[in-house]
Amino acid sequence: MDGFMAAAALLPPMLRRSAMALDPAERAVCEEIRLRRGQVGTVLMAGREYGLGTGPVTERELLAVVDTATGASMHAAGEQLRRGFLAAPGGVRVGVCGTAVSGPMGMESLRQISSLALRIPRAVPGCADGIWPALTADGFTSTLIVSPPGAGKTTLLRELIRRLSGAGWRVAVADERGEIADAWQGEPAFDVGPHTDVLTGLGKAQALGILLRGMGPQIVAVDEAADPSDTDAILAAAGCGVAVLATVHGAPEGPESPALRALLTSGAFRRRVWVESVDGVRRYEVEALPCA
Amino acid sequence: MRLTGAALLVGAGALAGLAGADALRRRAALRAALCRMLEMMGYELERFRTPLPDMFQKLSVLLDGQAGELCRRMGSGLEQLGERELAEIWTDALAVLPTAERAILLPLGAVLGRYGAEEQLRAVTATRLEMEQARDRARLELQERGRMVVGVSAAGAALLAVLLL
Repeated sequence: MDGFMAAAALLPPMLRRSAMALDPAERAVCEEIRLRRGQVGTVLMAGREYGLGTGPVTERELLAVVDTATGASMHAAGEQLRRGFLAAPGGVRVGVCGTAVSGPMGMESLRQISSLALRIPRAVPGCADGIWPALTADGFTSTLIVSPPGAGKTTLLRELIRRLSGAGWRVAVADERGEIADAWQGEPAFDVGPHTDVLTGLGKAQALGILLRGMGPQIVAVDEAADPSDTDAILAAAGCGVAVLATVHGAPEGPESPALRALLTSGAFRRRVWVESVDGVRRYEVEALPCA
Repeated sequence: MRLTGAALLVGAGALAGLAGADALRRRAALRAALCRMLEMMGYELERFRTPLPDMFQKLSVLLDGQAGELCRRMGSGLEQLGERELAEIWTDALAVLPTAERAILLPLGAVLGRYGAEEQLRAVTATRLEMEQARDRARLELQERGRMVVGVSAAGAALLAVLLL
């Protein structure tokens, strides 16, 4: 099942019919399906939202999507909600807004759900072809992939993992949100290469420790370093003599996030790949970073 | 011949009474099983935050009779999420139960899976308490009326036999 179909499968029947009525070419470039209570459902394509042609989305429809995404088990998704999304089958990530219900561990659940963003995962084999020589010219070294949200960091990360693994490197992936490999019952839904080990669902700090101790990787890969604990874990891994492939939010202009600054100033990374999406077309630019 | 007929009549009355008492016993047993089911649901929610499909799968193995069948129906019904809503699946699964027990459990369909574990636990606990009261009433009724139903049925049949003789 491709990403669009996986996302559409989460929709209640009427919305699903509208989504499936999209032209195959449109489905192929659809990045997100967005549902907001009282508003018409939309699809995000090339950075713009287009109406799905149905009536206003109801609370009942939003709840139905959440039920399907969680297996009617919102209570079991507390950890995912604390990270800001629900991981649904097929690698679909569902961003949720509503009124938070707090518990001892922080946000435990959401009620009065007001909007959902179904992010469609997509493997784009070959998307790294243009930058592959620059990234591996003198052997692969730690590389940071940087882009604003939704520009295609995870897609590039997944493709680089596949290529590196295919080239014979042992790659260990800390797939905290299940978005990179979408491992389902132990088998990755996405092709992440023949020499790749994936640990799903664990925070980066814990996951990287386990992978380093247990799997003997040559490269470790992680998605979306955000917290100080993430950057600490990544830098600790880099200090263990493995190459690190990581993504972080950032933009060529504007202030750097604390996570990006910490990773760049550490000297652990030798290359940075800027990713930007212009009218739905991804552009990649490799930049050498100064040594520490 | 007459005596045989009379004996059969009294026997039939006693059997009818026994059947009535058995219905009371089965109702009390069903309610006790549903109390156990609700207790286990609460435990799973509180201790393990078990997702509903896993919970009902587990309970369908652990519980017998109509309570087990209800869990089996929920387990298979949850596979249809996306096509059908949870409340609808719950309502359909409850069709395996008699009206009174169904009425007690029906409101849970609006809460299960929708909120945090604590809120669901509160709803499950409230439902369990209501079911326990119903179970206690059924047990009391069984104690008070069980023997009486058999006795009255047999006596009624005996009276009829005497009249016919």
